Amino acid sequence: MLKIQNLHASINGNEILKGLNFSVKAGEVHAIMGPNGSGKSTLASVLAGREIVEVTQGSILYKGINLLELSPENRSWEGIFLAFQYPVEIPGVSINNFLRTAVNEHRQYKKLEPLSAADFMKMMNEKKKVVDITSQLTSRSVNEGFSGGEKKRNEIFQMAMLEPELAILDETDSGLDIDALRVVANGVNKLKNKHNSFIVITHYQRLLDFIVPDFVHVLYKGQIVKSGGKELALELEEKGYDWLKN
Amino acid sequence: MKEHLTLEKNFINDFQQNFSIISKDDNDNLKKLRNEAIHNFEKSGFPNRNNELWRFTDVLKILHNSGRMVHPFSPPADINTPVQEIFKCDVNQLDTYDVATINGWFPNTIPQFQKVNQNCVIGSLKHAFSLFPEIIDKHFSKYAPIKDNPFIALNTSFVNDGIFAYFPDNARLEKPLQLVSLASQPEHSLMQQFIQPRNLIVVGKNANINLVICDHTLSPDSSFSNVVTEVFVDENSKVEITRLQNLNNKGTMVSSLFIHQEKNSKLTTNTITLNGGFTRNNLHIVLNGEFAEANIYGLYLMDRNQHVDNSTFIDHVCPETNSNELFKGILDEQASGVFRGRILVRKDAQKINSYQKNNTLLLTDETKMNTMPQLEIYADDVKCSHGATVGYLGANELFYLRSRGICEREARIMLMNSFAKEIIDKISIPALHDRITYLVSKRLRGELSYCASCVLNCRD
Repeated sequence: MLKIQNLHASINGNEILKGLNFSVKAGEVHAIMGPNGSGKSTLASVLAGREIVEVTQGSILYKGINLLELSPENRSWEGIFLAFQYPVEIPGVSINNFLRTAVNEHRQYKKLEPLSAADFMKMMNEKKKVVDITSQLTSRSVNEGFSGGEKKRNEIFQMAMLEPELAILDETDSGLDIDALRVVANGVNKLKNKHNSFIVITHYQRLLDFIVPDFVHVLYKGQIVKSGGKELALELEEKGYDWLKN
Repeated sequence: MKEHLTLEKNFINDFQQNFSIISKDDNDNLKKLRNEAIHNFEKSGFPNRNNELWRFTDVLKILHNSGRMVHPFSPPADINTPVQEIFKCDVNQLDTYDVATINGWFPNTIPQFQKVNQNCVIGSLKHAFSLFPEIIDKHFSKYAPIKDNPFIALNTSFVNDGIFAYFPDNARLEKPLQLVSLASQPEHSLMQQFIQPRNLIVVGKNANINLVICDHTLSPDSSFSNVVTEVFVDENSKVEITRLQNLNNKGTMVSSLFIHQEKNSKLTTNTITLNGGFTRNNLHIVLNGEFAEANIYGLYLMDRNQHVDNSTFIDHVCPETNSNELFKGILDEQASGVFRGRILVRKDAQKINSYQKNNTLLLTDETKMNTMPQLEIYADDVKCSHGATVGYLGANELFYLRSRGICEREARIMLMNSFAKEIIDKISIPALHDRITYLVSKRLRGELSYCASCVLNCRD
């Protein structure tokens, strides 16, 4: 599904990713761990198409398409979803209006008729159950005044609405207490199937107790320095990253 | 006479040569006022850019480019056809009492005065001079000073007609009063019209009044409007004024609104500039009684070479008065904008609150915005704050929306609408709020041209 080869990427002239290689197949869950500043969020940004990150070398193939040529919205229509580390507050845009526009643009891309207001509300109500999100929350402006937990929950809710094929969770666990973490992780598990894939970026093994990865990779100084199964995460939790730095 | 005064000379000659027509029905006071006003105008001339208040708004250039203009000393020919035929306001959700002027004249096809609800009077200013002399004596030209203000002086010297509205104590209107000012170039006329409507609105004590003031052009030609509106709000009254400006791209307007508030009165104004070649809004509010409160909002959406200037002046004369000001705007293509927010807190005006904010979004690098807060505080126990931002659409917000599959154009429109929403949400009449939301959204999509009629009547 996703094949990244020799990826080099910079932000404002500073090279962050330095020859990253990484592949994901359909139905797999990959965890990416690594110390601060290793390039985890930059990788997430490159996949979602954030303009501030400049790819200087290498390639990303997604479902056989050159991903780097696609605009962020086009990537979304093709099934890529980024759950933001810091979801953006958009005052004055209601979640309803925001998601209805997004869902209908996805449908238009697939040459489907737009959803009627009634069908859209039905879909919202079904998906709200995935992350136990309340109507009170979805009637508000996007993320405005949400707590950290509510913002992350809202990200997973959007993911449920857009049904991506490749979801990237960028430190979705940061700032969550254990109960919120469980709700968010359960949401992800409910959405997981053999056709879609997840890249879970995290600092902590904790999240991986709930979302069990097939593979764990360690990103360090812009490269993947070690890959393994889920037991690698436990080893990292125990030993830290220092033993991998040399 | 200074060289630039050749332009002014035309106006002065027009005044002198037509004085007998202009002042035909005047009493002595009005005659005297006209002469005093034209004298003031002659002394000052039109403001050039050395005048601090006009530094970024080159009205002289517009005046020069307009060539010789004519004054509509008599009502235009089409004023004899029922105004409803020229201008229809048939928005069913928005039920208003409406009156219109064409080129500053009150139509003679409708009664010159109508009484609505509890002796509220709405009609022609020209007729009010003879029919309501006490109200005129007490309020006319009392709030819009002819000194040091050439446009007010000019309007006052030439004053012909306009709208007069009087709301006695305890008046309530069941529906808003809509005042529409239309600019129309008469057929076969080669010279541009210089129109000068004059409105006077007097609100008694304990009243509750909702006004919608619309400015429009009826024909696609150039026009120059110099509108002056004076509003008096007596004790304990509540007044909401929504102004909608939708002129064509050749339309020039200098619009001055002077509001005088007495004790415990509450004012909300909302100035929405949807379109217009060159718009200067002067908004002058005097808080002349304790606990008077003014909420002043504005929204401007300009593109092409359009220019908008909102110059506001809030005068805290009395202690315990409050003002809260927020102007927001979006400039596209080569549009330019000015915001000037003067706040004066007089020496004895203790315990006042005054907040001011101006935020402008620029959509291109060719737009220009000048924003100038100007606080003069002579009291020592006050709370005042001001802030201004000029910037581009947020890259993070745009990316967030796009990452959810909302295309760039749609994402930009969504963010612009949400930016404007903060101002529109201040409109308390639900039907008007919805209508303006719709119009602004259309404008931001580039689908709203100036309408041949009132924006509230724009064909869907």
